[in-house]
Order: sequence, then C-alpha cells, then structure tokens
Amino acid sequence: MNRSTSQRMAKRETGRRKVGMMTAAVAFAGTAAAAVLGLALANGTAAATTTTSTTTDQVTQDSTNTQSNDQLQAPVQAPVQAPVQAPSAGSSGRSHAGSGGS
Amino acid sequence: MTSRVEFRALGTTAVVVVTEPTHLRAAERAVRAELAAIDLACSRFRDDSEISRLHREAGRAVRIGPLLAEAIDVALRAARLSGGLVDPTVGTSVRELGYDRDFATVARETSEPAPPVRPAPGWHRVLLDRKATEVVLPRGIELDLGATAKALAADRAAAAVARETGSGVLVSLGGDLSMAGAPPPGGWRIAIGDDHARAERHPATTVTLRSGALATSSITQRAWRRAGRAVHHIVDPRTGDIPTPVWRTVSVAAGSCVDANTATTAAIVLGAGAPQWLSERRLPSRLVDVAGLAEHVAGWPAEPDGSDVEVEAGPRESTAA
Repeated sequence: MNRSTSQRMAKRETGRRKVGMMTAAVAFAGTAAAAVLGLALANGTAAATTTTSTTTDQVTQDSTNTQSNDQLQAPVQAPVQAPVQAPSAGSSGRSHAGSGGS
Repeated sequence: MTSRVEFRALGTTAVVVVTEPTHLRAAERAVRAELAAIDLACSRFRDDSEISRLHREAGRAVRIGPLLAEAIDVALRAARLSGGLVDPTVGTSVRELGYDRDFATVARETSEPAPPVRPAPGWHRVLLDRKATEVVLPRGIELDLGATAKALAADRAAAAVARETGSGVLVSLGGDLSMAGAPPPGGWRIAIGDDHARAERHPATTVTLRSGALATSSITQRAWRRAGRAVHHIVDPRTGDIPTPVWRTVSVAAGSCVDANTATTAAIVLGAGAPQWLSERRLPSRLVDVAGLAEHVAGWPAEPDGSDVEVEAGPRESTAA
C-alpha cells in the first residue's frame, strides 16, 4: 500500500550515505525505520517514530516571501517608528493595516 | 496613493492594499482565489477539505494536492525551526479545549470541563514525501495547520498580486501581514495592537515596513472559557494545554509571514525565554506582557513614550514575566 513511499525514503537515505551527510549508522537506522514503516502500514497500523528530516530538504520557494530552510528569516530591514502624519490632501495619517491578534 | 479593500475570509478579516488603485479589483480576485484554495486544502472545519480527508484516511499513505503538501511542509519546517514549540500535531488538543469549529460559532463559555490534557504526538511522526505529494499521518493524530497556513496564505496571496498586477501590495489576514512589490512612499504603515480589528483606530504603536512580513499573536483573541477557566487557541505542544501566560501579545517582523507567525507563536509558548530566543534569531519583535509592559527586541523601534525595554542578544536585561 505504501511501497512507493517507503522505497523512495529508503532510496533517499541510501543517497545520503553516499554523500556522507549522515553517519553510516544513522543512515542505516533511517533506512531500517522506513522499512519498519512499510511493514507497519502493511499491517494497517500507524507506526512511524521515524525522523521527517527527509522532508525538510524539499522546501521550495515557490511564490512565497523569503524562506530559508535552515533558520527563520530576518527581515531585510527592521521596522521603524512611523512618523506622526497630519491628515492632508493626498496624505492620510491612516495606517495601511492593523496587526494584532485575530 | 494606495487603495484598499477588505472582506471576510478564513474566519477573520482580509485586507488588501495596493499602490496602484487601478489594480485593486484584480488584486482582490487574486487574493480571494488564494484564500479559497487554502481553505479547501487546509480547513479542519470543512468535511470536504483535503485535510479532513487526510484525517479520515490516517494510517496509510495518502496522495494530496500540491497546496496541502506545501502547507504541511511549511508546518513541519516551523516545528523543526522552533524546536517543536510550534507543532501541527496539536489538533486534538485544540479541539478538546473547545476550538472544534469555526471560531465564530465556538461557545464563549461552557461549564463542561475539557478532557485531561496530554502532550501533542509530535511533528516528527508526520511523514511527508513532498516530491510525490504523499503523506502518512499516523492514526490518532489530528493536524491543526491554522497558524502557519494562514501565514502561508498571506505570503502566497501577496506574491500572486505582485506577480499578476505588478502593483505593490500588502495582504493582511487577521493582522498577519505580507508585503510584495514596491512599497508606497514612506513604506507601509502598520498599526500594532492586541486586536487587529481595533489596532488601526486605537494603535498601541505604529511602525513602517518596506518589505517582508509582520505577524502578531495574542492570547486575548480567539479566547473562551471552559469550566470557569480562560483558554485560547495557542497550545503548548509539550503539555497539550495553553501555555503559562507570560506574554499577552507578540509582534515579529520577518522575511516571510510564515516565519513571523512561527516566531510569534513560539514566543507565546516559550514564555519568559522568548526575548532571548527572538534576539538570537535577529527577529525584530515587540512583546507585551500580561501586565501591559512592552519589550522590544533585535531592532524593533523604541516607542515614543519610552515605556518599553530593549532586549539585546546575550544575558537578558529584564524579565517581564
């Protein structure tokens, strides 16, 4: 039922061993865990205490604002205190939006 | 000159502001389309949503659409980067606290006690194959993508408007803001408060930003009483209960709304250690404690009355808890 997912996970873990990103022992554990997951799913149970580190290297940037895979991304510029504006033609003192709990 | 429209969506208020007024209608259409897609993919309150189907099919590999895959991916990343302080597997905890339907219809007070709390199962138990858009959700785990999915929607909507119209745009979803394209002269003016709906008329402070995003989380909103106890929508995954109240409201500026929202939620959960945590990540932040004292972190501007406290990286200079 979940063979393709398990196989992909096992293949990915194998690839990791090749590039030396993980120790051989850890990679083996990951592969074994993926196999255990497959067996558990075949039995209709929800096992899975495996790591999901395999998913986090697949984050795409798509259309979103800047996201780093390794850390929360700081803004290019910090906010600055807004100057007090007197309402006048073409220049309202209104805020563009409010930020608060919702 | 900016132009703006607002409407109800995702159980809150959506605000769209563009720098080119002629593009407002096109911007609204683009934002509505993004929000409708997110709602259909991620709402745990809709029987016909993809995430509801995923819950029904827990325990086996389920093929999902690319948008839900992205939303789960974003939620798992938030969990990883927050050290588990923001965890999408709190769904059962949130539901058992009483947030089991659209908040507009949640009973604001009920005498029935909640079931005993228990820690969230843990985000690491959710297996996502992003490439194949397959996910395995172990039985008994309910996902609540609420916070990160709304922020993702803001990021995606702002990017879509800028891409489709070329206008500078700010999208606010219940006070979680994402900006794209060229800002208006002087930047985007953002009023900050406990409640996004009141912040513009009664701001605690007002800042300007030129890009990126800003999010605010507050324990004063989406709050209700259960068996005489005040509860709200932010759950500590480590306990499955609401966190010990230290911060009333936290605002964070970041490169994306997803990251800003991850940080505000993590700060509420973390409590007294939040200023240090935010400072170490160079995330400009404003934290208001339950007594109303504001602290600002990592370059968040001082407030005119000087009543707040700047916190730098390193040993904390003050503790408002």
